Amino acid sequence: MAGRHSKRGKGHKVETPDLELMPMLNVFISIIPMLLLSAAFVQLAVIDTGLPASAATVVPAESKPGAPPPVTIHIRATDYLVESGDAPARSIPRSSVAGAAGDPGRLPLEAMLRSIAAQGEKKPEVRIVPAVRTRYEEIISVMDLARGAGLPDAVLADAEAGAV
Amino acid sequence: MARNVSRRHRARAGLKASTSVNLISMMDILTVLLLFLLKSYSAGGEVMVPQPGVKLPESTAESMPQTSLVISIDGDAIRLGAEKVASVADVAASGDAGIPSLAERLPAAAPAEGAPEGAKATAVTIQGDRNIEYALLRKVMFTLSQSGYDNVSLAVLRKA
Repeated sequence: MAGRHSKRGKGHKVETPDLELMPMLNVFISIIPMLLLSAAFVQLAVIDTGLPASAATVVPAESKPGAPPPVTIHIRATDYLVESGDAPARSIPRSSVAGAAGDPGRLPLEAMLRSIAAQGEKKPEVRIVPAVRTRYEEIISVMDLARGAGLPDAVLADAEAGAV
Repeated sequence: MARNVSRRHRARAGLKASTSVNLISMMDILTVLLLFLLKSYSAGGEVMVPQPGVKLPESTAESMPQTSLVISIDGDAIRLGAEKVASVADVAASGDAGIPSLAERLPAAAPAEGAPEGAKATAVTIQGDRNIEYALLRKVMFTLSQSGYDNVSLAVLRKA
């Protein structure tokens, strides 16, 4: 118990009361281990996506009133193939060996998606068509690129008609 | 030296030596720690923990995870919750479009704890290892679509 500390001055007593901190300390010591054990320090997020449909069988976006034509990105072993509306398909070389972060095709692909996003007020849907051996990390990376370029609606699509 | 002087001063004043420990600095540390921990709880959303062995890809996505069924895919196994339902090697080797063992267990899968009735009953979150191939992911998603789970989310690590 922290007592009172008194000083004797010129004939009078000055008391300096101490706060009783032990109960509070006990509460803290009980709560903090519990919080530490149950806290999730890794921040998870989710990307909502539709189930992959065949890129060939998806209802054409032109039939939806006012919707711009979708942008289809094929992730292939050596390049990204980008199809947008009636424009001819454009190929961007990539490296699947370097990993998603070291892929030299990221910047050109992002620039291309930015230019597509800047074309109109309504943003087209992005359909990502991975190859069967495409790694999950690379798919997420392309989704991130599309989102960063201003095209937030990215869905998976399947190149093989009727596969799913 | 200063202590001796102080002790002598106290003795001359007829006071007992104070034996209390100074707890203020400890209280400061604990208060800061408590505030930090409470703040990490106030972020909201579902607290989802990655399954052991699954290295999630990093993403700039910011949507918070919702309560849903969790399917995890690592290099060895596909798990429904914590239960192993299929081996990755077997699934990769099979020519089926879906995964029969997963399809068998999905109808009996208990709804996620705390999930609201109805609306989120078809929600599922896939925790996939960053190195799995799309062919495997496609089979899982095909099985989900066949079982009526059409609200699919992909779990990622949020980039700092």
